[in-house]
Amino acid sequence: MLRQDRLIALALIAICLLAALGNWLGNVPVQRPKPVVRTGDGAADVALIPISGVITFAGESNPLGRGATAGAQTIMRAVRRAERDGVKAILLHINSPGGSAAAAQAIFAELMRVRQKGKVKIVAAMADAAASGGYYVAAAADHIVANPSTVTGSIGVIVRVQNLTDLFKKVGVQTVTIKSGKFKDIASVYRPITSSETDLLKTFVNQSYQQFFEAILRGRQGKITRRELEQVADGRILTGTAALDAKLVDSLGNYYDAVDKVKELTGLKTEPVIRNYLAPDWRESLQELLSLSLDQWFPERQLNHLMYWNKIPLALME
Amino acid sequence: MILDDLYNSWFRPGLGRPPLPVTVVSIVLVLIVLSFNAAGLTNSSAGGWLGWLFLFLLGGGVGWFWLSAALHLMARLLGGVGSVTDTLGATAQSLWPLMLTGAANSALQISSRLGLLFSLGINLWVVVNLVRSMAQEHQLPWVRAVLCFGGAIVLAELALVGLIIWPLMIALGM
Repeated sequence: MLRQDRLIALALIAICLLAALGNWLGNVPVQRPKPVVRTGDGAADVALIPISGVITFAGESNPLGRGATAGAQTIMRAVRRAERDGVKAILLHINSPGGSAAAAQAIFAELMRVRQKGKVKIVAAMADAAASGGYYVAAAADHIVANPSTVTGSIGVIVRVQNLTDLFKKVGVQTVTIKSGKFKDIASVYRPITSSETDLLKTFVNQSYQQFFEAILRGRQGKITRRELEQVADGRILTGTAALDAKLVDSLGNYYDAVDKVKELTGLKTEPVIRNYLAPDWRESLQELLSLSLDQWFPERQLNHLMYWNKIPLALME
Repeated sequence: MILDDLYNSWFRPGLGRPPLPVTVVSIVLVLIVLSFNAAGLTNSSAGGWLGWLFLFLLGGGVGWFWLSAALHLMARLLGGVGSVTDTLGATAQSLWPLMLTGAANSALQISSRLGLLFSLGINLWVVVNLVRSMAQEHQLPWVRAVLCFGGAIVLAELALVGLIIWPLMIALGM
């Protein structure tokens, strides 16, 4: 049997730790009528999904909080969670120069799936930039709000191939490549690109571009025609104002104008309760803590990230 | 058992300074609670909480050293007889009510007045603990122990001002 002193000490420790843990995991109370961003559990009218940085499947978390780059998997999970929670709208806050074609495409498809059911309205608010892959994602919204100076557009696909043979010759590096097929080392920096490889990459880029183009047409159906889109979908970047003229966005404004648009589209009479769906819940926090490795704190991680990008030849960026 | 020692050090301080492991456990608990509070305030993820914990370990260690140094200097000036180890131990042990700040923050969400009163009580408790432990370790009468605490706070603040002015003086004067 535990003595009374021990019980009191144990209870005190447990209460203090639990109270502090509760402060961390469910801190912000619901407030009306101001628009509030919640991070804990509970009913929300609007799911805020911030999409920042380079869009990839892997994403990248920061040791002092999530959000260095946008992970498609995390974003798609947030969309599913928002749908399951029965939110009235999803507010995308996009600040991204683009990313990998597949990641942007996957997020677009997930958002379109939700949008087509008609129960959840989607509004995109653009920040500094929502270009290329960032615009790809925004195109899935019912309404896009851009700041007049937002950098957007850049509708196109790019593949860069470098030829470093002269450099390697100077430093005395020789590489022998053994491959199973003639295209296995496509985009190799150890030799000049061949004409058949150029043709293959052109087809690859065109197919990907066509998918991008058709996705925008689908997302902005009834707002922009094929002909109008063809005129601006040549890779050019546009300011928010120019994008409005080109019918790539629906209105000019900031984040709060986007919140007002959400209210209008959903018919909410009071200020909406907004919850950040990318903020990890307690299960994810625990999972993150358990999977936290020390390499996140060291520059080698950045190197790994760069190597990851070198392995992806196709990027919707800039 | 460590729970007995924790109970005695918290609620029966007159029994004397607890063993080192008890002080360490007490301080670790305080740091965990404070880092949870900070992580809640800044909406940090698990990694963020760990960052706060490391930061508080570092900052808490430095702060502990400076406060103990100031307290020890004042205690010696006022005729105290305790050793440096006594002062370091007394300072560390006196901070345990900060562990209750988690509950105080929770109370703040129910009623701001209740939360503020709770926080005020915790701070007062820490001050009383520090005065009492300095009186005990250095065998000071309570008036001198209060003076010792007041003087140490002034001294610590002055040291902080000095830390800011010194680099300025050197940078601008050179």
